[in-house]
Amino acid sequence: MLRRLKWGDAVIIAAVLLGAAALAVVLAVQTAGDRLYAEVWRGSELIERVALTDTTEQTIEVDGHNTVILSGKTARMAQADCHDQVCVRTGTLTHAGQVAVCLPNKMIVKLVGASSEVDVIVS
Amino acid sequence: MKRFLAALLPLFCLTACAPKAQEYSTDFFAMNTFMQARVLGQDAQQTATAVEQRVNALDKLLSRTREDSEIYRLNHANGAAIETEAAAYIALALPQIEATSGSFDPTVAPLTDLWGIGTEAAHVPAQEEINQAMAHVGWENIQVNGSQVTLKNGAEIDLGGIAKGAAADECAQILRDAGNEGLLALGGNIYAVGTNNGKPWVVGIADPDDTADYLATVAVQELSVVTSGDYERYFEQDGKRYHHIFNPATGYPADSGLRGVTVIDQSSVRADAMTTALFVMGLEKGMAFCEQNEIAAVFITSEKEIYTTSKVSEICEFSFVGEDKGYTYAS
Repeated sequence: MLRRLKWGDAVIIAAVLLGAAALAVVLAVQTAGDRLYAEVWRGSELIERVALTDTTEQTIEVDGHNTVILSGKTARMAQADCHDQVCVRTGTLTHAGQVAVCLPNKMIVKLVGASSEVDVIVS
Repeated sequence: MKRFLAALLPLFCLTACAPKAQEYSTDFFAMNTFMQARVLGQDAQQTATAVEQRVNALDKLLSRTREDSEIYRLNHANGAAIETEAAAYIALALPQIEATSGSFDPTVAPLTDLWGIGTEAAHVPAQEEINQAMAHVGWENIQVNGSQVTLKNGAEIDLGGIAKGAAADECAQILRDAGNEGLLALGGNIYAVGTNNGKPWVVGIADPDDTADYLATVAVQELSVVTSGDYERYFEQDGKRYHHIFNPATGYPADSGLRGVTVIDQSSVRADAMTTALFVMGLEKGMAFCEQNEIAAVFITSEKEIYTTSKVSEICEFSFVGEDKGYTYAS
């Protein structure tokens, strides 16, 4: 069979294998997830998804009820007009998987993407 | 062309045969809290949808505030015997009440209403009002006979202390039946079903003063992890914190020197009830109770100490990481 393999076949196979290997590396890097994103949700509606970098500085106002501040690779619910203030007291999110929830306003801020040491925080 | 397509085969295999399982995550609000379901494996989305539907069905059955719920109907039956599907869930609570000698008591509902913790009306009531509410508190007021329930002496029932546990247990079984693995986070009730791509799920135990961060981790599989603390629903009056975990014996929020209790158990219902009861008992009595009953628990004290019971190391891997926050791991 190898004798019947033509020079052109070998080139195509080698190119495809190289391409596949490169793609696998890219996918592996993506899966490991170096990038960290902040997502702001109102109920089941995604309002903002922001890739966080060391220089990120952004304030997101939601319906005049909640204020989210993104700073570097962190996010926090800075202000909320709810009575319990649980979301504000949650503090600063720094790792993927962390969530600040404003139950009365059905608002969620969460970090996703980059791999984290914990899968969930129980509180 | 055939040669080209044949050559594409390894490319397809390398990319399509990714090592990680198919995954679907969903967030939703139910039972007055925020929930997340992360499902791994075949038909993950279908399983996650089934989880959400089951939680919503249980919410409709067991909510104390929804006027269309069975518990609402029972609480407004003026002591009449009621035939209800909720009886099975009340029956789940009874052994936990007896085991903890009433430290966990789902009849504290009148106290919850009176104090209004978590609402805009939160306040410290007069002692006379507390005494009046206490007259209706007591688990001996619950009578379950098959699917029939009677609440005596003007008692009301609040299954908030086990409803999320029941939901976690049932939803974990939905994942198992579907051949999926995953992580369910139903408010303060976590259920780790199977593994995370072959590894245990890692659950962080929140820092009471910064709940986005954690003081310790437990690596678990096929276990539920449940936490109760004084830091979620509370109000402050005259410099004192009043939280939502009531001592049924005093009518006041439990003042036991604890900030939080985490229980790790196969049954989320049991873990749910135990966190409340252990918080009420306090460190010394709670630790003794756990050792006697083989309960895996993690205690966080207001003195910034963390204690674990001997069962913890038997069923999971515990790691303390709270040193830089001023905590010490005592045992």
